[in-house]
Amino acid sequence: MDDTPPSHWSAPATPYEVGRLRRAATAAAAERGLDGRALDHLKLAVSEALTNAVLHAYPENGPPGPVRLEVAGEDGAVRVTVSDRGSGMAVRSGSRGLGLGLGILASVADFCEICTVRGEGMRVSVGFGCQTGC
Amino acid sequence: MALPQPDRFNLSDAAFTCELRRGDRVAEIVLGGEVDIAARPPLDNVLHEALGTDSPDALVVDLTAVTFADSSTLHWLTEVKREADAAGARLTVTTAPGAVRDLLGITGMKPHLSD
Repeated sequence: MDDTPPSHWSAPATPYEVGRLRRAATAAAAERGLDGRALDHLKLAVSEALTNAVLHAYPENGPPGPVRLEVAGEDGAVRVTVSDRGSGMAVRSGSRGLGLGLGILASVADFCEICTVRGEGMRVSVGFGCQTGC
Repeated sequence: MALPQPDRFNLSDAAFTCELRRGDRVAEIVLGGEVDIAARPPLDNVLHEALGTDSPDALVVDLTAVTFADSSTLHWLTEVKREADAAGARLTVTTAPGAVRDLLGITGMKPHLSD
């Protein structure tokens, strides 16, 4: 599979980019054959991953860093990857959010992988219509 | 790759809408479209407006026209519940089958949001 090249976008990690990127990913996944409830769940998972980057990747009062979105796959098996170049996963006091986002993401995806490397940011990959990462 | 053009993906269906209605001792916040982290500032404003004047006995949050919601929406709803309790207003959250009800089911939060 994966004869269709991935689609990808980059944008500042700001609240106002979340919707645009979410809709872009949803449209790209639909073009790759995902539909129905799986497509709804992909949309939700992408929004959670992007929101996590907006809230946690970069310092709250500093300029927003970049977030990158990639959609790959075909024939109804789709993988979405959201990556940033921020501070990675860390224990934070006064976190902005309920801590629900990544849990929701993991519960709706068929496949979920969260990778953080110190100093290099965080990468969240979710798969739909597949069990092993598409 | 450039982002898709808005008309290609029907952004008009995704537009977030927010309206405050007032009745006899009741305030109703009616939301529509896609509700995510970008909606938080207007949501906070309408909540303060709903509870900040006339101290309603009841607050209704109508989500039946919301087409998409995520944990940002849930975070706001917990604030609504906290502030309604503090103001002594009875809270009712209404939903329709679809994205919001699915999200409340996934997270098990529905019983915690309405009185």
